[in-house]
Amino acid sequence: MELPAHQITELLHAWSDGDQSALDVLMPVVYENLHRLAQSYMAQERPDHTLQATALVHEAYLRLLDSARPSWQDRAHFFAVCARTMRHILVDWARARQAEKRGNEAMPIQLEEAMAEVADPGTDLVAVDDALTALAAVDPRKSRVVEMRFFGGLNMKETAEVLKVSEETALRDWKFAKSWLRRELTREAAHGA
Amino acid sequence: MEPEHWQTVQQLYHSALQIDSSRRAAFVQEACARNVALKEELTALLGIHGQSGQHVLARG
Repeated sequence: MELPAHQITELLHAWSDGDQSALDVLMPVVYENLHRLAQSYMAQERPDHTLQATALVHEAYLRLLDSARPSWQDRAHFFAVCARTMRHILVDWARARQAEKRGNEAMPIQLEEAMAEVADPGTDLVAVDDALTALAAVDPRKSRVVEMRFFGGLNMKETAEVLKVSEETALRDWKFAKSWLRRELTREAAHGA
Repeated sequence: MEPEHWQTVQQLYHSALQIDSSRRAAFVQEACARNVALKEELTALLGIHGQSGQHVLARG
């Protein structure tokens, strides 16, 4: 399904104003586009290739929204929708790879700078996803902060805008969530192997 | 996890970050009093290592 950019902008406004059904319309559109982009990217698999989430998200943005000349707030909300979708795509992909046991043969996913602060380069995305789900069970907002930073490349200002909190609050959430995830992933690694 | 506990951990975490790293371990020790579990959790979150190392230094 394709939607014209101005309609996407309207849906982003509606979602920003608290209309959850707008998100239900947006998600499949974003998913389809991001999925297609990711597939074509993976199809050209080369040894030196890495899949970078925010690069794909940015490409989706250029395709779907850029022509509507969105405000930075609309842009932030769009990236937030992409972040959730990107997380699903990447984690599904990591799971499939695990199942195939192809391990290192497959194209590595390049960790975003934000994610590299928490996880070692070799960290399994499935473990990151599990830890984020555990965090969401105790503190959903912190989990969303991380999701937007890791998978959508949103900065602190954009993250705060989407969550409708002050930048300071978003930053405190981010700091604590990073420490929490780091501990969780270290513990996982120690018990796992 | 109890919401109250979660709040306490966060408060102490942010307070500890305001304090100079050399005094952080002592702050956590004091703030947690006899609550060993809380102390362990904060120590892990703040990445305070070498608690024993400090003892060695203190003795040295």
